[in-house]
Amino acid sequence: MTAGKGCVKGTTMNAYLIRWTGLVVTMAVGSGCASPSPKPGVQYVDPATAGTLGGTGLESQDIVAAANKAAASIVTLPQIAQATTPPIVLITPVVNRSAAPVDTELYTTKLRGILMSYAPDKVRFLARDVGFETSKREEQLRSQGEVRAGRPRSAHTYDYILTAEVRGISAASNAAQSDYFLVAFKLVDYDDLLVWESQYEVKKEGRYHRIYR
Amino acid sequence: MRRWQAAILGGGVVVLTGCATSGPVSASGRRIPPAVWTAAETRVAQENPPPELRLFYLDLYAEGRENEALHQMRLGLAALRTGHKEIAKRALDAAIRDVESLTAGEAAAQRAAGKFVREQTKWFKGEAYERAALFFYRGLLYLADEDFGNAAACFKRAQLQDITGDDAPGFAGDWFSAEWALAFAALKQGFPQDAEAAVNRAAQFSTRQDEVPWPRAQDNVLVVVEVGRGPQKYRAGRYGEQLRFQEVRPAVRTVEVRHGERLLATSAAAENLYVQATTRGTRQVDHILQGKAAFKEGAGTAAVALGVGAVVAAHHRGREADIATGVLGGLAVISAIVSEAATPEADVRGWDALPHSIYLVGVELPAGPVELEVRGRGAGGESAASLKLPIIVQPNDPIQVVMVRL
Repeated sequence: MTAGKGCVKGTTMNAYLIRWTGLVVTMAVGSGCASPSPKPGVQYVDPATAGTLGGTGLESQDIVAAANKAAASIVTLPQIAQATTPPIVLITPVVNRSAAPVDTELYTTKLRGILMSYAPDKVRFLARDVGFETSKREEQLRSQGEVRAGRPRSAHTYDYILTAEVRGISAASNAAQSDYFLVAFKLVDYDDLLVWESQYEVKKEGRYHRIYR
Repeated sequence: MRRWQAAILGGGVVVLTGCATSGPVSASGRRIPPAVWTAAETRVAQENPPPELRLFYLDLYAEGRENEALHQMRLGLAALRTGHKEIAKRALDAAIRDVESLTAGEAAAQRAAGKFVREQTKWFKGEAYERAALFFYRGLLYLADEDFGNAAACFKRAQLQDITGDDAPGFAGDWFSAEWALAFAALKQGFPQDAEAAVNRAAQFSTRQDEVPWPRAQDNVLVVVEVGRGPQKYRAGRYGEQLRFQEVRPAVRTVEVRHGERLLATSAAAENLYVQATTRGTRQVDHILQGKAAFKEGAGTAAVALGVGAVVAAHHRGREADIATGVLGGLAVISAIVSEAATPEADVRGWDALPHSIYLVGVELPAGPVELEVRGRGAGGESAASLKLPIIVQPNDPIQVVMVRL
């Protein structure tokens, strides 16, 4: 081995060491210190499409799909489609018996909205949740002469009740979790006769990253 | 000193000191830039939340995405305790969205699983007991709103969050308080068979503390008594790679609810959160952290061995010996740097405001103003704490939830 060659080898070795050291140091520093937070931003998303957050609970697309399915079926019922006078329907709050919190008011509102859009002239809805108490109070004020008398109040009653119940089977383990939901819609007439029932089901499975398990 | 030696030494100094912090630091140990802190202060000033919640909002806005669920949990519980129900609902719902999302924070989780990134840089979703507590408290808010279906759903969800490792199968889904509250919600919903099923499940729980009277359908006031300080996380193991919990055991062991001279109910704790935290069994992240610790130890051992080799080589003369000394010394330093950069420390961020124990007492009271007394008794039956609780029971109100901190 000559001195010249040894010198070249030594320089190459030193260069390698410096490069590797730099790489290791960069990795260590880069990974150990703060990284920038994700940039904030907003984008419009179709509520009927699956969300990106990836939970196994009921999400907006499930509500939209269930309400669409129910509404499409209801308006084809002979009791609705062939009625000479549009029947009046009372939509009751959704009963949640699943293991996932559900925005029950959203369900009711969405279902009513879709039915309205499907058959605006075939079905009418009672909106007791909106004005019943206020109108009763107003009627009382009128009768007491506190306000001007108007036409007598004649509140409508319903022909059908539309109910929805969410049931489910849920399971979770250290490895994964799953949720099965059954949304059952029922249309019951004033004499408690079940006129129609429709079901919508969805099952979701997923797992956390192993660092959360 | 040669250039490359200086570079390595300099690099080591950078690694060892590069993350030094000054000023406010987040729960995950990151320095909060002054501009971010100022922006958070401005936002809090603009939103003007209740004074007792301002600091919670400040942390929430200043600490970024990885600690959002943690601060929403803390804010939610503080708001619930101080009577700000709407804030509590919003905060707990926000935390639930993060916890329930299986993909939120996935990229950060992937990075945190690496050997050179701390576990606490992952998005906080809490340990199993914290996630269960999140749904339990949200369920209480639904109960207070008389939304019994969603309350029951939350209590069921709390059990689902209480997962365990394969070495602790008997402790999964064993929150007595969740079954108790589920039974109450079911009774109020008119599903007595669901309530009975909850009672039967809870009877099998080995973590049950003692005698806890079950709720009755006619109970119109639920007194939730929180006692003591919840499990405190700390690190153990040579490199802090093990997550451990410290218990601060409160003096109170039973709670009495009195109305004047009348004893309405006596109850043991419906839940002991320290027990829940410590019956989780082995987590998958424990294996990740053990791997990181083994890597750190291996790199450290290699550094020592290479260093010894370099010293031995330095005692020999000649060019080859010089080169060997340089190479071995350089590799020793690199190994030391790599060992130092490895981060096996367990994530000890925690929902530290949780109580040690939760007592649930359902009572039937007449409408009108009532002054209850909540009395805590120690192990020997001695009075350990007492609180007067003036409430107004509304006529025909199916339930009023009252939070008490002893």
